[in-house]
Amino acid sequence: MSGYRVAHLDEIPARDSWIPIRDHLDIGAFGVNAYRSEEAGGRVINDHTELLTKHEELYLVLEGHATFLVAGDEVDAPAGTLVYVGDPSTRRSAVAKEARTTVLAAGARPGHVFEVSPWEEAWEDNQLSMRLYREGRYADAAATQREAIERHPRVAGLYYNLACFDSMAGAGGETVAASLAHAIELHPEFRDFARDDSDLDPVRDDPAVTALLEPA
Amino acid sequence: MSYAVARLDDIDELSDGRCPWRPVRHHFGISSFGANVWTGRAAGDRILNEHDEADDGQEELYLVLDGRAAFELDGERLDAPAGTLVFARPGVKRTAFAEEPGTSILVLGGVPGKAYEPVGWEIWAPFNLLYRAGEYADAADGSRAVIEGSPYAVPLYNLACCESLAGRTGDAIGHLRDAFQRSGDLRELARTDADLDPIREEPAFKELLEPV
Repeated sequence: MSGYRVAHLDEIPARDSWIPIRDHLDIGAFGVNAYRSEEAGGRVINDHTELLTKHEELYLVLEGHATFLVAGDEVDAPAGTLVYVGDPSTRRSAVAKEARTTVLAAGARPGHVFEVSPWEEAWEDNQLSMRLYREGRYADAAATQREAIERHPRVAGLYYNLACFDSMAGAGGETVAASLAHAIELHPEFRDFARDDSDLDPVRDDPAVTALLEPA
Repeated sequence: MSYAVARLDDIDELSDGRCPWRPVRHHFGISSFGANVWTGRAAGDRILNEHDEADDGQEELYLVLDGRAAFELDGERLDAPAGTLVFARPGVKRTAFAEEPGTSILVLGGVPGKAYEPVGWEIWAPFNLLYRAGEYADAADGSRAVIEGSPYAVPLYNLACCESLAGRTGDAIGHLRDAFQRSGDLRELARTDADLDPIREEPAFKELLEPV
């Protein structure tokens, strides 16, 4: 590319609430994205930890007014508020208190070379299957996800979601366990996620699944 | 505490005599990327000094937070209202001016393919003017408490240089020792740094330069 790139936040094609700044500008040294809710009450930052990436994250409310929930604490965050979460295991999320609230998120892993998450590349494929999942079409979601995995065979989250779709579709413990094993192999933290995920309740007592979820 | 919160205005501004900045990265102890916010108070103020990052290979993302800026990128002028993102690779000569009072720009930076290392230039920069003016004792007096309370090696080294030039041999050697403990690479710089000539013949200094 030439030496510099320019974009206005509003020009970057959004993926739902996600404004993919890093991808759009081809930044290679750190992660940076913005998230926006047009409606008051909408989710701006999904409830998550950074256990998979081990990133420290800095959030900056660019416009509007957000309410963060960090480590169980409610944080009032009008525009100009910075929230720094250093511990990857800390749960964090944010909702818009006002319409059109935008939050910038920047992150990287201390002491490590930044790597683009393969998840970013697989995102659109995963969205297709998530749409079907949200409509309750679990078997269709699983079929779509299997095609996505052929295109992105190293993305742990795709396997994990496939396990959930299959579980909800009644595919049985052994099928679910096969995908879950892939996910855990690529990212051992998925073992912890799976222990509390109600999508896996239909197969939770299956011996193949319980064996996977035992402490490593 | 696993997290910290601040309003941008809560972070005290630093200045090296040019436009002030808020040292966001330093404030939170972020160690994997650089983050600062520069502010031009009056229209026409230069917010970002002209530079090109060619030496350190850092790529930088600028985001206009408030007001309106005018960037110059390799000689091309760019109108940049709030919400504008400018991403510059190393080698691009860049600067920015405030077009409106109170224009502020967030700068994020890092080197692709390299783990980020916080140098701590943010806390040294306010004292660099005194150093360049030859006011070594004042630079050392002003910076000592801040630098001793920080985790960085380079500002400690710079403090030791000021102390060396101010005739404070014992202080200089003590701070050099601490700086080398944090970053052994600085020993090489010290071997030829004229700022340390006043203490070069001191036995304790020679001992510090011996290979560990």
